[in-house]
Amino acid sequence: MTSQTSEPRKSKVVSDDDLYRNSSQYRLWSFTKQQLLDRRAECHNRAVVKLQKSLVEKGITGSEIEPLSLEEEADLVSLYASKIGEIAKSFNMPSQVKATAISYFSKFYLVYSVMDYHPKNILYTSVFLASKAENYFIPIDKFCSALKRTEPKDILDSEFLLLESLSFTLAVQNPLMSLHGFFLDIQSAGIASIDESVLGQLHDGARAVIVDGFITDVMFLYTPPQIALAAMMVVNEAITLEYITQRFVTNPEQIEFLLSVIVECKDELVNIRLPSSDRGKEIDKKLHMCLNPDRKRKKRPSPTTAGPSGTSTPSSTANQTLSAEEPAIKRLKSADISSESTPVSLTTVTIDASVEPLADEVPEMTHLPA
Amino acid sequence: MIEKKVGEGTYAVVYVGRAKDTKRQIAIKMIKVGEFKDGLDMSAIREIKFLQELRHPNVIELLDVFSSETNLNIVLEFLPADLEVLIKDKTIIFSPADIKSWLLMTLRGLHHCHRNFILHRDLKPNNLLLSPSGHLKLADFGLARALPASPRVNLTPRVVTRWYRAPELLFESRHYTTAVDIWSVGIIFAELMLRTPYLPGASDLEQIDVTFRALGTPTEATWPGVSSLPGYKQIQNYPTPSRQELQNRFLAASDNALDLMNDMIHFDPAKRIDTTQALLSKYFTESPPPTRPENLPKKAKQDPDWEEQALKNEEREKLIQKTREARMRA
Repeated sequence: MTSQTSEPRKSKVVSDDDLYRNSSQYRLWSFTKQQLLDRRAECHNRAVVKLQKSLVEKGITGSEIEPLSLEEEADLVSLYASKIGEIAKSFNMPSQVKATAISYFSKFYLVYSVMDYHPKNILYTSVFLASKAENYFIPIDKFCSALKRTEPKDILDSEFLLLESLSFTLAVQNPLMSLHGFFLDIQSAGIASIDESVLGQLHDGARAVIVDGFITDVMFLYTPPQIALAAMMVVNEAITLEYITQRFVTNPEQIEFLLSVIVECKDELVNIRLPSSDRGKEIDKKLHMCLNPDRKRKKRPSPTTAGPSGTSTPSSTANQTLSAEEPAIKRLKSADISSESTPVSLTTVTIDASVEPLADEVPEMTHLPA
Repeated sequence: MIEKKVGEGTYAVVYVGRAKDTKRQIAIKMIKVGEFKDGLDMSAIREIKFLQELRHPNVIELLDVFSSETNLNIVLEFLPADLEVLIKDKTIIFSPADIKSWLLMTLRGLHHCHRNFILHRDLKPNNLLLSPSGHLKLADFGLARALPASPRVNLTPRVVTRWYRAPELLFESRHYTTAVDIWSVGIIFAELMLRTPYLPGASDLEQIDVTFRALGTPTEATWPGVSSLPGYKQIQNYPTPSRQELQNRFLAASDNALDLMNDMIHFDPAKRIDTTQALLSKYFTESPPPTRPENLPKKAKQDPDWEEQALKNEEREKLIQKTREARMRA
């Protein structure tokens, strides 16, 4: 098949690294730790200024409503991100969908603050958009019926907003792909003295570490192969070291550098900080006040779609909940939705009609008594 | 700066315009948001997802994505012609060097997709667009998907336009690979030489018959595992055509051209060649060398006839409505 005589003229060889550098993940969503901190602080500060301005406009004194701190905001985002796993599980979604959903959700809060948009609907929308982007489409009414107190419009209204916040980049390179590649390579490279069952344990263990690590910042800081190797390190340092030294480089300096990056990555990967759910509720309560500053004065019953009426500009302002947002998208009549039949795709696993409603935690957090 | 509407696509209205700064012609796909029950259209999502990641001279270039009011706008480079139009225009003569050039550009674009683990899943002459300078570019990524990491993932076999559908898809295989795209390219290659569709089945069932009548019926011996595919049907036992018979069908084809085509349309996807092997085939290094893109035949009319195009699009509209529903679930 191959031509021995005259190979095509080699002008430029495109390496796999070149391909990665061309990916949106590298171009738009890779940061240093400092850049990440700065981005989050920037979103936070902008939202605080907006909130304070709107409070002044409404004549609400600052002491009644306090903006979230940067730490509180980070805690809330990771707490909500951790819920994505439960949702994904209840829909039987592959880990690829879960990873992508968490990625979308985390990226959204590198563009906005939770004081701009409450995480609940953004969370659902992230899962819904990820399910489409990763070929695990679930019709919207089916999706919503499994979630408590969520209407199709809650999700569809923020789908476009989410896509925009992602700068229209939807591809997420998953470290599980890299892990798969390393395991094929370990087997074919025939690294000595590795027993098959040990290898199986290493694979499954590393996989679990990667999946648990989706909610950390690791995807913003390292490349997928680095993350995969770091996860292997967590599970079995000896084999991973043996593999790296045997397989990769002849140059000891390079190995040293690679190992230092992977050790750093490993620390980040297992650095999962989740606030207690009590603290989460506390912060959510505070956030609820920020998003509904009128609530305190007008004692209205707590509606499912909480939010002040009449204040609608299409732009995001801190005094609006998502559901009160002027829709960027034409809203669908609920009648249209319920009358629609929903054929189940051959490729999607049928969601059992008796799907357990999600643990109440996610929706409940937004409906705390004012 | 928008100049005119050029048609309605699967999920969008397409306008042609000109970039203010560069004066470069551009196509704008305007996708109405909120039109569909399930939110953003699946084809739009796929197109954005994959074109954002692909930068290659033989893949249509995504210039920008932006939102306006209730629209999502995809700005693409404007490509005024496609290979289907040229194949149908019998006033144009294709030289073997022209065919080689188009095939080479197709394979280069596809190689880039496959290197990035992207399956196109809808290759056909109509989706191979041509720039004014003669460069061929893969377009329409509305059915594309990432190659799954695990072979356990189920894929839908309802992809690729019928005439270009690989036999494993005809037998409804749920686990296929980049080889489905290679098959399509092999069939396009045949069509370039014949100037008429090679395997034009009138229905899905007939497609199976047409395919095996032309190429012989696969057996467990020639394609291990074929009889356990979900949609496998016992069909009439057609003989595999001899080399001479193939040569008679493709009169102008060189030995190396026939070899390459045969390797791309091997029934067993595991034995079908990949883009790397295809690009290194002797066909591309034997004489004549591929025509330089700027010297390739162009459509007789310099200015494409938009009205005709619009009519054609209208006819396609019904089909398109069906496709959209199917794609949501693909």
